[in-house]
Amino acid sequence: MILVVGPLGAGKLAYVKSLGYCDEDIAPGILDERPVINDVQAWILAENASCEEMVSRLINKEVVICREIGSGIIPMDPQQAAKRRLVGHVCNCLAQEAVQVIRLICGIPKRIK
Amino acid sequence: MHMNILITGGAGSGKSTYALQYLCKLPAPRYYVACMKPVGEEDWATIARNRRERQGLDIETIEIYQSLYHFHIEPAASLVLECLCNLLANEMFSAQGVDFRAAERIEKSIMRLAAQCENLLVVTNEIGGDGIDYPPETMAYIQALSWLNRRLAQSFDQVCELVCGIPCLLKGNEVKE
Repeated sequence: MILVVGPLGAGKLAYVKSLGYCDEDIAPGILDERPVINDVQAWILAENASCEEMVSRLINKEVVICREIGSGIIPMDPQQAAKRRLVGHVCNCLAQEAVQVIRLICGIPKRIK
Repeated sequence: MHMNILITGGAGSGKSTYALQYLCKLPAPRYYVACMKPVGEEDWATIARNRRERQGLDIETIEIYQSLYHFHIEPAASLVLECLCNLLANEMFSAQGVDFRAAERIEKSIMRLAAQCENLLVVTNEIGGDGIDYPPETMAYIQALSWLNRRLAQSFDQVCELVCGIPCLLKGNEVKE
């Protein structure tokens, strides 16, 4: 599995398409049979499951794309704050299992693992 | 070897874990300076989680919520200060209102602390990345923390950003183990 992360509009999707994936391969924030899941943060935020459970369900994807959402003001609502941290924790676990971790900034992919 | 390191990264990116792992490789005495003043259930849960992480690691915990300037530490000490966001919020906002000099004061205190001890690891966060316009006092806080981050990054030996639990060096050289 390749984990692709970066802020909104950093070029994550374009990078994944450059690897040879087309629109039909990419699931938008939902978990189905397609090999790539985009906006996994939206799926994590909506899903009611533990970190371990989510990781185990994502681990067999070829590519997981996550928008970084943890670099803002901590939400006032503690549950929202915890959810935001959970997105981070799921990504930490996925990164450990991933063959590669790619971070996009200004459209530039940087391999950090 | 004297080292000052600034550790940044988003929520849940592994900053604390990295800081503690790093601290454990440094010679004793080791201190963990906790700056989060617990206000709700979630805060206590975070504190409990962090305490569990430090269990059996030979790290002494010190709680400092504000007025870091009065704090003294022995020259051989290595310490983790977590985190700048809390320290600034505690120092900047009170019943009396907003203190716009807080960031300057904290910078001086941290530089003084850095000069006192052997190794200082400061945990911070990038909080200006959500594209939301907040009320003026919150915007002032974002500006103040970003200013502090820039100032410390300038003076410190190493700046490290945690991404998905992976340390990415922004400034300085990799430490040979």
